Amino acid sequence: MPVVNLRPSLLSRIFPERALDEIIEKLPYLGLDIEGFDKTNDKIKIEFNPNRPDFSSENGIVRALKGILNGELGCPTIQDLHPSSSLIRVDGQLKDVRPIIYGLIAKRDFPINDEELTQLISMQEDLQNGLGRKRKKSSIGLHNYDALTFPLSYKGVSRQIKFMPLDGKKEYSLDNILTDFDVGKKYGHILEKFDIVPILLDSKDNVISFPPIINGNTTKVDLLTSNLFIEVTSVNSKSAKDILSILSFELSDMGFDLYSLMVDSPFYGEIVTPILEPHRIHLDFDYVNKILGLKLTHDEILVCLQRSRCEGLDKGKGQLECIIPSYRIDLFDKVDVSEEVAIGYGIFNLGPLYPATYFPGRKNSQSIIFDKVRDILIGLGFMEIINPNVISKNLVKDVFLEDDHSDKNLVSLGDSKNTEFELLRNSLIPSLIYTFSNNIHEKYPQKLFEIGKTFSTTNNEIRENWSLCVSIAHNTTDYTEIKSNLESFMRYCFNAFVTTPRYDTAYFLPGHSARIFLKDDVIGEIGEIHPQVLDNLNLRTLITIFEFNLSGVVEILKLDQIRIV
Amino acid sequence: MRKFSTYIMDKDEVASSDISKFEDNSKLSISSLHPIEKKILSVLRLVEADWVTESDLIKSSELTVDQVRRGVEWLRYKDLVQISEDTNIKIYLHPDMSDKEPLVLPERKLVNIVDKGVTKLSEIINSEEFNGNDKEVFGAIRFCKKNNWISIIDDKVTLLPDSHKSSSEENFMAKLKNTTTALESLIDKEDKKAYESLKKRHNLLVAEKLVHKKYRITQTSVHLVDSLLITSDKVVRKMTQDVLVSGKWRDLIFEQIDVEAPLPLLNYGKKNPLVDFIDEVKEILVGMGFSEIEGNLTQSCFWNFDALFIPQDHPARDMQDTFYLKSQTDLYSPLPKNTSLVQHVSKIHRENWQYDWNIEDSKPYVLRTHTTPVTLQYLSEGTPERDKVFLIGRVFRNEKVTFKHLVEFHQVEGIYVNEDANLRQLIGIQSEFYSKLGIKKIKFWPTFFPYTEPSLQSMVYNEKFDKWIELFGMGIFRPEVTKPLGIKNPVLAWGGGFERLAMLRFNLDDIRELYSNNLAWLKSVPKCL
Repeated sequence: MPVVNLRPSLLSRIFPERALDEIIEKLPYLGLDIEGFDKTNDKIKIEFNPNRPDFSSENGIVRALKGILNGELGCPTIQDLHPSSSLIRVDGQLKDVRPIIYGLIAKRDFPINDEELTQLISMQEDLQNGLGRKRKKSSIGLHNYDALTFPLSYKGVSRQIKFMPLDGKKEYSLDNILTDFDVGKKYGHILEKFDIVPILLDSKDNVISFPPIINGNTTKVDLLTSNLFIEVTSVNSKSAKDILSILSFELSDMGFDLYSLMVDSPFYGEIVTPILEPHRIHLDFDYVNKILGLKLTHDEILVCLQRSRCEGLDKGKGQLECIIPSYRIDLFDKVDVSEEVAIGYGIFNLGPLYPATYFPGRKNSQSIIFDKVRDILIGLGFMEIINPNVISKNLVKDVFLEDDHSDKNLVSLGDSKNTEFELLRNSLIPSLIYTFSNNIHEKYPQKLFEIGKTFSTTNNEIRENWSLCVSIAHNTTDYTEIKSNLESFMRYCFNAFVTTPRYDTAYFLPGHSARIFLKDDVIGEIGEIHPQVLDNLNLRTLITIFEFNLSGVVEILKLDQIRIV
Repeated sequence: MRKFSTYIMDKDEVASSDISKFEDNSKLSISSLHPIEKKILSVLRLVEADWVTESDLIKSSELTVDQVRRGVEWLRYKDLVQISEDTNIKIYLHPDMSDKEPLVLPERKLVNIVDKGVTKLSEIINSEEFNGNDKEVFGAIRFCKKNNWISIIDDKVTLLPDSHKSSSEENFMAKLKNTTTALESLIDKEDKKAYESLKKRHNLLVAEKLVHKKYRITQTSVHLVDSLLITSDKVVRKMTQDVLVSGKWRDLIFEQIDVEAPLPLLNYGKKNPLVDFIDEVKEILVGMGFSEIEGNLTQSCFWNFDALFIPQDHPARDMQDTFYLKSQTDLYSPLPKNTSLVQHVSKIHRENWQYDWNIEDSKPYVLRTHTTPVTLQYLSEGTPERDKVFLIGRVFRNEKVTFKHLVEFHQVEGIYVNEDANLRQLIGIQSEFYSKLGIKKIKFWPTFFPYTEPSLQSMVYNEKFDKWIELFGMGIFRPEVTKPLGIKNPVLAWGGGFERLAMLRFNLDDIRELYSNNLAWLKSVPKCL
């Protein structure tokens, strides 16, 4: 989850009548997780959910706090959005590359300070990573407005064009930037399938941005900058609109006057940005009460919405119109409005209710059968172990004595972060033998069993089966002992008889292994583990084992239905 | 008499570790003897209740010094044997003296010199005998005076009549010279006085402290010991089938065995503790009216993500977090047969997220990252108007394994569907569940999940750690999720990682312990916890 730093001193300044502890206690009730509180550095580290990018700044959090602390109710408004004649022209060649650009101008009498600049840049990063999907969908450029001249031109150009990138010492070609700069390497893939790439030029043909990679150096924002130009380029107009809305409210909270500008695009005509119209959702007052389990009056619901920094209108006949500020991009359905009411009402005020409708609960038949399987095995003296379904190739190789994974039916994991997890196991035998190898200092005899899933492929699809594996390790265990256990288990658990025709496999001692048949079906295998396998795992004790397909047995014996009598 | 050595001798480790058990020996009922104890008592019993020295005991019992000392210690705790420690002093001449022939003390030397006519002190000191050693001379004078042998006027020494009698010191030294050694306890009063005096003087005598241990049967326990020591052809240690069938048992006396000694633990069969705990939680949920469902661990992206309103470019779908599956043949999961469901999901994605939903991105197999796809398939198949189901199963995350993260772990999940289902009921269900697990203090905070709204997370207070711990998440399935499935009523859903509960339950700091399959740990977890 993304993180934002909040200054407790700022909270005390904004809410002078409240104790700091009381304010901090409210943060979780806005859906914020307090990760750390560093008093000496005046810092509360907060995690926010990705659906609330407006929480990526202190101002965004304060805006919401003001609502639930009754400081300010209803939709926050932007002081003034002045119209302006500034224009950005969009080049038709960018249709498939990155067709959308939105922007705004923010002016103030005094320059931006260090704290504000840090907040803006951190917010820019969060927005580009989240809503911007790591700049693939949208990216943001912050510029010194006074260092450029309108109209701007958003154009598709060849990679040979040169300009001086942000903090660069000289001019580089776009190609150089993509191949040599860190940001180019990191985000260049976004442009890789296009011959032409987007740049933003001012009226004097200065390159002010190479989206979504890097800004030009001429419009660099520093602590002398008091007027800003902000552009968002995107492949998705909703994403661009949302990001610019969130930035608009942030800049307005910082005391900037906002000026709109005109985008002239061959794709969507002339459009004035930022687009800060609140959106509206219509629903029944009753729906809110029903979904929350409350009996609030219409007026109470309207106040709850205001405390969540929305507005509600009672449209009569039980109809509610909810007005939502444009930076709240997470609200688009009546359930979202209901949650805002709940947060405005205070989640801690929601007492528990206990549903009265009767349901006869029961375990599923498989759990019931597996429990009985466990009972019998425990009675025979076996201890249950559980292992992961994902295992390493090396273990499979060591136990099944196969050099290449010739078994085409194996399923493997793409890109695992742990080498011990590479395959979905198609047998429980390797994990069980591995377990013995980890317990060589424990008392023998060791008798273990596991019930687990095994995986194989048929016709491009994956098949999952429950499997049972039972094994004995001690110095004199042999085929007779393990088969006696198999027959006892089948008899006591299922009243079933198995046959075991001879069958040799690489990992069993030749002549000491068999397949297990139930009725006419092969269900598994049984035998004495081959000394080479024991040697591979540094085991100095004999092991005998059987494994069979438990799902198959359940099917063959038609156990998959609960029969009480 | 039966031979003791037929009994197992190596058992004494077991008994020696357990002496503490006998500390309150007043209430002890002694019903058994260790073979070592038996040997010791048999020897002691031969002299009724008289003392037997340690060396005699060792000799007669054919035990080692260590065995005797250990055995006696056990018997002392049982109050069957008393220990007495004799201390004595062995006295003999110092090597400096024993070599001298004749044996002459300095005071006698002085008398002899004066007797020869050397009477002036300075002359005596410088005489051949004293060789200028004035200290020795003054010492000799002191003892001569004590013996009333001499008088000194000015610097002239005169012998007195007693000087011809030998002193008690001389007598004692002479005796030692004859007998070589004497025991302090055996010498007479006169000799004792001489010894006390001589032992203060340098290099005349050696006094060696002697400690003698001796043992005897406690007077009051003689009868008890007799009964414990009964041995004859009529006494057997073990019941046997032969004894039973032949009826010999009627004529036999059975030896008392040690019924208190601890014995090695047996191997045993048991359920895995985590499985056992899962079963307990299942029982709780069944008791609350939830029925169990089950489903595959391998799922299509469609069920794991798309059907849950998670957009196709969502970061959670990255290879970073999710295991995509591959095989030597192509793998693609079958999409739901209900094509209108797929279309409906596609439409909702396009409209709400405004992107081109791609059916191909729905087909890859993943290891389920949560159990919810199973719940969704259940809802889609039965489209219940009201229902209450749960599942506990494995889920997978492509993460680095650490003390708090596993690649593969369990999730518990439950849903409640009903026409009037609401958020406060969800809080109620969760509170009831926690209360049945023994968790009393809980609170709920708003949170976010892509597929529920409103969404809450629960915090539970753990008394052991004195802190709040984040436990299950919950919410009401979004209409964007339920509508395509054909579900009209609200669906309350809750769930989360099961191992967090298990760590609290088994008092573990490291989540990996649960899957380490360390048999010592598995055996150490008691069934009733």
